[in-house]
Amino acid sequence: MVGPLIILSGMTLALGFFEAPLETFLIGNAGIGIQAEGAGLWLISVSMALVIFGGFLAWFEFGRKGSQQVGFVERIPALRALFSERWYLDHFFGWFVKNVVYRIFADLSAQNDRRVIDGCIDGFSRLVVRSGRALSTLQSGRVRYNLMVTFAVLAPVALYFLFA
Amino acid sequence: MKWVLFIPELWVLLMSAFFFGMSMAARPNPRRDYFIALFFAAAGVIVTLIAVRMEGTLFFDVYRVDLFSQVFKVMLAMGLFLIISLCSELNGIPDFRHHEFYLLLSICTFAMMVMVSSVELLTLYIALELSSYSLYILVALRKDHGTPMEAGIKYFLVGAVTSAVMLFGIASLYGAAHTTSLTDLVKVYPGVVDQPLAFIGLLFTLCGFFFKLALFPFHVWAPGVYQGAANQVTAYIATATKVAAVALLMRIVTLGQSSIPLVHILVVLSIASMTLGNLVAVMQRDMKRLLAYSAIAHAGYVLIGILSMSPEGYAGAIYYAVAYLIMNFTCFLVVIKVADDGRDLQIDQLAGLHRRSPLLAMALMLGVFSLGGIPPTIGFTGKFLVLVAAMQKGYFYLVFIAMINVVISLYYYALVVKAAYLLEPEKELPAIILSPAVRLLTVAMVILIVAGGLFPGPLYAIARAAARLLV
Amino acid sequence: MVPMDMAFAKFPFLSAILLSCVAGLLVILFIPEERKGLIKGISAIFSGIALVLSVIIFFAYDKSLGGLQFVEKLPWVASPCISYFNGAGGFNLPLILLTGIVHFTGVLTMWELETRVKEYFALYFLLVTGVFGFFMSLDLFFTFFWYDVSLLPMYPLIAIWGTTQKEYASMKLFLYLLAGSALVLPAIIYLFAKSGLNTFDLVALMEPGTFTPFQQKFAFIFLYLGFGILAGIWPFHTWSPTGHVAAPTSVSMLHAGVLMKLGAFGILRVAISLCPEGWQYWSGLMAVLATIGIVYGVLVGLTQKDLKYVIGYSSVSHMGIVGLGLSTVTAEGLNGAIFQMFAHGIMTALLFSSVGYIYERTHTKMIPELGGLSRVMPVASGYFILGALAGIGIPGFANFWAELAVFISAIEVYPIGGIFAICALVLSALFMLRVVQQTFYGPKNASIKHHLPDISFGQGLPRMMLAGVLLLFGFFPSLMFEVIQTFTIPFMEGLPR
Repeated sequence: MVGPLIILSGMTLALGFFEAPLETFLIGNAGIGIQAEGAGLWLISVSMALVIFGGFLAWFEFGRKGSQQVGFVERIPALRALFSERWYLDHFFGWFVKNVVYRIFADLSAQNDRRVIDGCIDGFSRLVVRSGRALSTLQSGRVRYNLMVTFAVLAPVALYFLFA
Repeated sequence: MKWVLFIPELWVLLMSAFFFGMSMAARPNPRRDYFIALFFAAAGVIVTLIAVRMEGTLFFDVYRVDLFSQVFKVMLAMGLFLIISLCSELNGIPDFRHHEFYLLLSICTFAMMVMVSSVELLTLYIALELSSYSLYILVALRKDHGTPMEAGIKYFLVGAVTSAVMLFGIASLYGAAHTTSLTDLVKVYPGVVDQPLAFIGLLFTLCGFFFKLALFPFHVWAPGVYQGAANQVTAYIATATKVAAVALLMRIVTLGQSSIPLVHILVVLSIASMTLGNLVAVMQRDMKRLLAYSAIAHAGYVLIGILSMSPEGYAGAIYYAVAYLIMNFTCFLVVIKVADDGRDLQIDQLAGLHRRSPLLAMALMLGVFSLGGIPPTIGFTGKFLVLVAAMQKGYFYLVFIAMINVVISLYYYALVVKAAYLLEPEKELPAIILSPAVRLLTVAMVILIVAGGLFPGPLYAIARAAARLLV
Repeated sequence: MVPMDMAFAKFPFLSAILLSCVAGLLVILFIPEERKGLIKGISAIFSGIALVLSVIIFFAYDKSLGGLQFVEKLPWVASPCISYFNGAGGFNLPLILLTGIVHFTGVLTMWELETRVKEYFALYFLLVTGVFGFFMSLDLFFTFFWYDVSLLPMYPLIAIWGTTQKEYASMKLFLYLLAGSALVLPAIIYLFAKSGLNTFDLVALMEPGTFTPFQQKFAFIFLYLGFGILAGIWPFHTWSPTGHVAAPTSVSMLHAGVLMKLGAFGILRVAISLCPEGWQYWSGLMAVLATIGIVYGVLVGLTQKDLKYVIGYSSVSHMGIVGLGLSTVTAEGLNGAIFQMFAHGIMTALLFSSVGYIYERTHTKMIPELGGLSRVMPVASGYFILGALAGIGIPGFANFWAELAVFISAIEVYPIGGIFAICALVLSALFMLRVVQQTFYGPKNASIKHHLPDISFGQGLPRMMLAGVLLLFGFFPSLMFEVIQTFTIPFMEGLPR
C-alpha cells in the first residue's frame, strides 16, 4: 500500500516544482504567464498553513506515541453526528417537503380548491335555486294578486316613456 | 270577391261547421270523430300549402294575403294537424264533449288564421277575441284530473283584463293616428310617435299579444292553465297560439321602429321574462308546469329577435316560431303518450322511460335539449339566428344575458333527461306500445329537429322572404 | 396574417372521418340492445376507420407546401354566409391524430362493458363526431356547432355509467362547460357582426384589418375565458377533476385527453387567429393564470388519495403548460403548446386506461387501499408507470419535447413564470413517483383478498398503442414538430407587431 503512495507523492512534488516545462509541453507558449494577479503571498501561506495544520492534526491524533487513535471527529459528538447524518441534508429535505410543501402549499391549495373555488360555484348554484324558489312565490293562486303584479310592472313602464 | 284567397280559412270554417252539426246531431264515437278530424286537418295542411304563394287583399283592404301571412297559416294548419294526430285516445275530455272539442279547436285555428292576415286593428281584435274565447272553453273541458274549472276561469279573467287593456290601446292609437288600418298606420305612426297617446296606444295594443305569448308580466296565467287543462289542449296552447302571437307581434312592433324607448322596454321585458321563466322552472316537479315556465322564458328569447326590428331579426323570429312549434310539440307528444290516461305528468313519473320506450326517450331528449338550445337541433339554430340579429344591432349584453339564461335553463332540461334516462321507477312499469302512425310521427319529429339544426338554409330563406314583406 | 394557401382535397378525407363517426352512430342505433358483441365490433370497425384515416392525413400532409390542405368547402346557408368548411394544417393535424388514436383505444378499453352497451356507444360516437368536427372546422358557425355537439353526450355518459358522485359531477360538468360556451357564443357573434363581411368563414375573417384593436381585445377576453373553462384554466378548472373521477374509463380518456384540448385549440383557432392584438394585450394575464395552474395542479394533486383525482389534477397542471406556451406569443411557445396538447392527450389516455383496468380488477381507486400491485400484475402496472414517467417529462417520451419547447420560450418571455413552472416539474415528479411507489411498489395491501389477473394481450392492446405512440414521438419528435411548424412560423411572421 505504501509503495504507490510514495510514487504518487513523489510525482506530485516533482510536478509542482517543474511546473513551467510541463506547462510549455502541454499548452505551448501561449499559456505561460497565466497567474493570479495579486493573490500572491497570502494565498500560498494560508494554503501551506492549512496543509501543515492538517498534517500536524493527523500526527497528533494518530501518529503520536500514546495517542488514542481516535479522530477529532469521533471525539466531538456534535461533529460526529453531523457527518454521519450526512450534514442533515436528508432531514432538511424531509422536513421541507413535509411541512413547507405539503402542509403549507399543498394542503392550502387543496382547501382552496374545495372550499373557495368549489364553494363559489356551489354557492352560485344554490343562489339560483333559492331565487327560483323566491320568484315562484310571485305566482300565488289568486288572480287578483297576479293582475296586481301585471299592473305593477306595466305602470312604471308606461311612466318611463312618458317622462323619459 | 277573390274568395280563392280565402280558401284555407274557408276549409277550417267548413271543418268547424261540420263539427258544429255533429255536436248537435250525432252520437259520440271517439274513433270516428278522431278520423274525421284528422282527415280535415290533413286536408287543411294541403290546402294551406297550395295557397302559400297567393297574394292579394280582401274585404276592403282589411285582410291581406301575402307570403308572411301564408307562411304562418301553414304553421297553424300544421299545428292543428299535429295536435289532432295526438287525439287518438282523448282520455282527458269526456266522450260526449269530443265534438265540441274539435269544433273549438277548428274555430280557434280559423280565428288565428284570420288574425294573422288582418291588417286592421278592429278585425285583429275580433279575431283575437274569437280565438281567446274558444281557448277559455277548451281549457275548462277536462274530466277527472287537474283543476280545469279553476284554470279556465283564471285564464278567462286574466284574458278579459288584458283584452280590455288592448282595446284601450287600440282606441288610443286611433286617437293619435286617426286610422285603424295597419297599412296606413305604418305611414302615419312615425310622425306621431312622440305623442304619449300614440306610444301608450302601441304599448297597450301589444299587451294583448304579450298575453298570448305568455311574456312577463302577462305570464301569470301560463302555469295554472298549462297544468289545469287537458294534455292535448295544453299542447295546442303551447304550440299553435304562440306562433300566431309571434306573427302579430312582428306586425305591430314594426310600427314602432323609430321609437327607442319602445326597444328599451322590450329589452327589459325580454330579460325579465327569460330570467323569471328559467329561475322558477328550476323548482318545478310537474312536467306541464315546467313547460309553462319554459314557454315564458322562450317568449323572452323570441322577443329578442322581434325587438331587433331588422329583416334578420324578423326572419330569426319566424324561424324560432317554427322551431318552437316542432320542439314543444315533441315534448308534449311524449307527455301525452306517457300519461295516456290524461293525468298530469310528474317529472319522476318519467322514470325508466329509456326502457319503456327508447324512441320516446330519445325524442324527449332531443326535444328538451332543443328547447335548451344545444346543437344539432333546430332550437339551437333558432336561438343562434335570433342572437345574431340582436348582435348586429349592437345589443351585446342582451345576447350575453340570453346565453346565461340558456345555461340556467339547461339545468332543468337536464333534470328531465335525467329522469327519463337515469332514474328507475319503484315498481316495474309496462312498456309503452306506440301505434305505427305515432311511431312514424315521432321519428318524423326527431328527423325534423335534427335536420332543422343541420340544414337551416331552406327554412331560413323562406323566413327571410316572409320577413322582407314586413319592413 | 399570412393568407392561408388552400389545397383542395382530391378525396374528402376529413369528411370521411366525420362520416365514419356518424355512420357508426346510425348503425349502432339500429342494432338491438341484446347483440352486445356486435355493437362492440361495429364500434371497433368504425373507430378503426377513423384512426386509419387520421393517420393517413397526418403522414400525407405535404410539409413543404404548408398552409391548409385537404380543404373541403361547401356553401351551407346563403345569408349570413355559412359554409361547410374543413381544412387540415399544422395546427389541427396533431389533434385529429390524437382524437383518432384516443377514440380507437377508448372503444377497445370499454370492451368489457355490459350495462346499456348500445346507448353507451351511440353517445360515445356522437361525442367523437363533435370533437372531430370541431378540430377540422374552419367556419365559425360550425366550430361552435360541433363544440356544443360534443358537450351534449357528456351529461348522459357520466350520469349513467359513471362512478363516484356521478350525478353531481355530471351536472356540474355539463353546466360549467355550457357556461363556457355561453361566454364564447356572444363573442363569436360579436366578431361576426363587427366584421361587416356577413360571413362566418374563419379564413376570410382572419384577414388583417377586419377588426379594430378594441374589438379584438374585447372579444379575446370572452373567448379566452369561455374556451379556457373547457381548457381547465385556473381558477375555472374544478369541473375537471370531479368530472374525470366520476366518468367511466373511456369517457375519462376522451375527456382529459381530447375534450380539454378542445378548449385550448379553441383559444388557438378562434381567439388567437382572429384577435392577435387582443392576444398580445392579454398575454400577461394568460401567463399568470397558466403558471398558477401549473403549480396549483401539482400542489393539490399531492394531497389526493384517489388515483383518478391524482391524474385529474396532473391534467390541470399539464394544461397549464399548454396555456403557458400559448401565452408566450412566440413560435416556439406555440410549437410546444400544440405538441403538449398531443403528448398530454396520449399520456392521460394511457393513465386513465391503466387505472380503468386496475379499478375493474381491484374495485378500488383509493391509494391507501392499494399497494404492491407490480408484483401481482406487472404488465398492467407497467403501463401506468410508463404514463407517469412520461408525465414527469422524462426524455424518450413525447412530453419531454413538448415541455422543453414551452419552457424555453417561457423563460425567454416570462422568466419568473418559467422558473415557477420548472420548479413545479420537480414537484410533479414528487407526487407522481409517490403515487407510483404507494400503489405499485411496497408490500401488497392486505385488503386485496381476491386473485388479481394480469392484463392479457388483447386487453393490453389499447394501452400498448398509446405507450407506443408516446415513445414514437419521443424518439422522433421531428415527425410532429415539422408538421406543427408549417403553421406556427408563417403565422407568427404574419402577425402585425
